[in-house]
Amino acid sequence: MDAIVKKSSKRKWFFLLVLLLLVFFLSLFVGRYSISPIDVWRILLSPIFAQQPGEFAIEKSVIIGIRLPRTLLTMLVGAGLSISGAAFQGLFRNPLVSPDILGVSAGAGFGAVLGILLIGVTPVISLFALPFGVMSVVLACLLGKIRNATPVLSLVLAGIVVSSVFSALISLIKYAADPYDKLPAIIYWLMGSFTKASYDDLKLVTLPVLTGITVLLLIRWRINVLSLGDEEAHSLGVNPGRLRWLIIAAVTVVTASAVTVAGIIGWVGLVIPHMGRMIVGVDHKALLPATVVIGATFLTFIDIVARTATAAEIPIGILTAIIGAPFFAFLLKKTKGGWL
Amino acid sequence: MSLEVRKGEFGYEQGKPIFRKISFSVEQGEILTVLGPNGSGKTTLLKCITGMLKWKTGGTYFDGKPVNNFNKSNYCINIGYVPQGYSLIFPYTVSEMVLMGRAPHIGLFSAPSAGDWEIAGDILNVVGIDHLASKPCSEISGGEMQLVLIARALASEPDVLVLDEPESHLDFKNQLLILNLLRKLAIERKFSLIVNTHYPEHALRISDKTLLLGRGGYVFGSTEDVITESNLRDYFGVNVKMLLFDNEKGERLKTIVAIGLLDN
Repeated sequence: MDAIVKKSSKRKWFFLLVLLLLVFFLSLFVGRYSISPIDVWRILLSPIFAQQPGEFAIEKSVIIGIRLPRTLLTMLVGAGLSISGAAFQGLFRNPLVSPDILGVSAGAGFGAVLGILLIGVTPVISLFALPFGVMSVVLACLLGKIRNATPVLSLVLAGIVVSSVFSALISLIKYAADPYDKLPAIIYWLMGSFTKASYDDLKLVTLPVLTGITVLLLIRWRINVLSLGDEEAHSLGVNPGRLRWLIIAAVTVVTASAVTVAGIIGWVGLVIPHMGRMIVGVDHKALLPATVVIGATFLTFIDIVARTATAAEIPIGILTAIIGAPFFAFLLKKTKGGWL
Repeated sequence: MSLEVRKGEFGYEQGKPIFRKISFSVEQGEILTVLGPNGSGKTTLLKCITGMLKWKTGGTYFDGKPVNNFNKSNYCINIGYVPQGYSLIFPYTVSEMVLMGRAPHIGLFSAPSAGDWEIAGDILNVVGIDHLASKPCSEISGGEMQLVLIARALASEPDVLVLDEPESHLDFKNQLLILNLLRKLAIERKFSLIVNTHYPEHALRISDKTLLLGRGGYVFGSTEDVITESNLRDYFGVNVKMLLFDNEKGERLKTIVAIGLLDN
């Protein structure tokens, strides 16, 4: 019995990892500037096999300078948002929660939009987005500290309050912004995109995102206990308060970093955890690593579509729902919701 | 090994205590049942004992040493708690659920080891639900779920097991199944058990000691002394008759029939 379960779970992991690898390479192989697959291989293997100097100079800069950082960034963001969603759904004991429930997206979005209004679209707007994202979560946590109330419920409520305030402020800035110049930039930013992905972005967010993911992976089994509710966690020797702040901190760092480099990408953090549960079950010990792999694969695949489907690039925040929703509906029908 | 509550007082609101200077104790291998009408604070009492709620004055003592601060790492005893009624958000499998009982023995950044799996597996056998191991908890019956929760509490290797109405919502057979299991755990494995129940008959069937809670007061003593027609009448406001009869094995059984409400 145990052996069968282990074998089938090994096969699932193998399948998931192969899929991730395939999407990774596909992402390097396709794009606006067409390069033959053979040349892509030659460029990728160029550190091993010597080439004549100057050969494939443009192709090289496309693949190594543009597609590679973009692919890595997409994977990082996809993995980060997905594991954050899974951790939050366990923490809040609610499968409808997404990582921005405490207002991090609205906060970071407001920061970025404010930055665009004040100084225009420059890489500096990251420095606006990140602190505002963190600030909004801190605000929600302070607001949510209500005596005599279920901590999890009051936190969600506080998150909704903070989110709506920042959303309103974003609307205010949109209303005030120059409609020919700033407004399109703001709207485009808010829809989420990896168009400007660079090694600088990668340098900015790799460390925080990987740190957050590592923390969540380390405490993943405890999330099971926390998902039983505070009283039961207590009775099982788990301090729910401390664990909760650790998870919120990790998720906030990851999500704020993701929003900073990619804008607001919805749906991934909500739905990838459900796909994970369909495949590996509800135990967070298996679920969290699975969401990392599935999230990275999913978002990279969507990004490939975003930059190749039409002549102009489609903002990825739109496609995650347009492609993701029907796919999810299909899975829901097919698995008959057995994991819910 | 004994668990004792000395002069415990608790109330949710200032100046409105639910218990006043309550004292009782339970020894190793004994079962203490807690009886009382709705709202008399049975569940609150269990939460005070386990430390989920803090005594206002007085406290819980284990072998004479106070256990006040609820922090498992400096806890001198491990109290297993089986909650009442259950709503499950994520359908963990039975073995995943039982494994969570190992949490007090597993570090913050660790996952259950092979040893933990083994202990959980043994306990599934003891409780008699090993055949359910890989079933999701959403697909088992209420009686089976109660066994899972007991197994989970046992997996933490507790010194004392506290159960909040483990047999309510269950049918006749499952009630007996749970009661027999509790009896077995006390006799064979020498656990001390504290059990909340709504059924005086169940208290008579399994317990050594009984704590009868009521508005403002309590009686504590051996079950036979506490569960009497007059005490039940006073504490529940119901006229009752206690009946004795012998079963086919010649064992004497007691049952309690509620005759009617007291006329005020």
